[in-house]
Amino acid sequence: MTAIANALLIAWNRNADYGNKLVADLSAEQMILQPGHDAGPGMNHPAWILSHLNAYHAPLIAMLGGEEFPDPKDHPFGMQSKPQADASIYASKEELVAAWQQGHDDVALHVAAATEASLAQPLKLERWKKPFPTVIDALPYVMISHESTHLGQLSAWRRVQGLPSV
Amino acid sequence: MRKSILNTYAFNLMYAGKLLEGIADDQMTTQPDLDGHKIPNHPAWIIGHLANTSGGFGSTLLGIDSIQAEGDQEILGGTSTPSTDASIYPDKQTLAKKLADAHDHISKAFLEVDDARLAEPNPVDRLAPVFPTIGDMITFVMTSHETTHLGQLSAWRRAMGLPSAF
Repeated sequence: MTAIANALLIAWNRNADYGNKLVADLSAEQMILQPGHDAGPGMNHPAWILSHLNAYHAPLIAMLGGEEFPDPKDHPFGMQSKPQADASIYASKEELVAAWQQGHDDVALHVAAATEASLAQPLKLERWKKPFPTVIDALPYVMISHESTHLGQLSAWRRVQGLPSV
Repeated sequence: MRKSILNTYAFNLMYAGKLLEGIADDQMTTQPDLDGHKIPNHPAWIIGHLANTSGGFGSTLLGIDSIQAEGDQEILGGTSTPSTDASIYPDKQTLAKKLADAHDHISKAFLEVDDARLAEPNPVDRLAPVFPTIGDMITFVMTSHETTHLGQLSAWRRAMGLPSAF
């Protein structure tokens, strides 16, 4: 494994653990609570955040395999979606957490197996080709920074619920 | 391959700038209260903390002079607590410049530092079990650490009734 892939994997695994901790003590009802929704855009709730982040596992695996993949923005929980108060549109907390962990494990396996050649492959998604010409260009953002941003939102959401930091 | 980390780091700076848009000077230390609970991390602390982390800790990791200002560690370090006393923080414009300067300082060093330095053991014993090498640690500082806090800032914006940065 390349040094950079190893460094990204460390951050990825840490995010997996962090994400688990951020939702571990939440009830099903809390998963869709959206503070401030009445007065403004509202905060992203845990169910949307996990659903949204879980949508990126398959694209990451496809990317690492040099394969084409559907644009994540078109996913039902992609970036064009908004958190909803209807719990029925989301998987249960248990299902979301299981998908979160499994997805992290699956991506980690593919990152660990990546070679310099596979990381140098061009991306197949037209929309990402300009900002991320190759797989290694995309990984720090798609794998780490994007996910960390949403986990940061979740950590702030916890404080508004009166929950402690993790 | 370092270019991909640097590109993500540069994106973080751009994102920080977008997140600061529309925030008035006298809002920089506001801790919004939703449902009786506050979001503790406000913009002044977040931006200052990121500048302090890169300019101080990041510089040390890369073997270059720290650009951390005297007194910053106490009010902006990892164990500091955000205060609503605006007088202890630089103003918004100064904080934004500190972050930009820290980014510039670290970016140049990260591009030039040799692989042997990045492969050295993490000098911080309590962090070494998770981030064994300097390369692992600085990658985390430049990616996940920054965007986790920027995610908190994006959630802060929502709690303040401000629109999304994008």
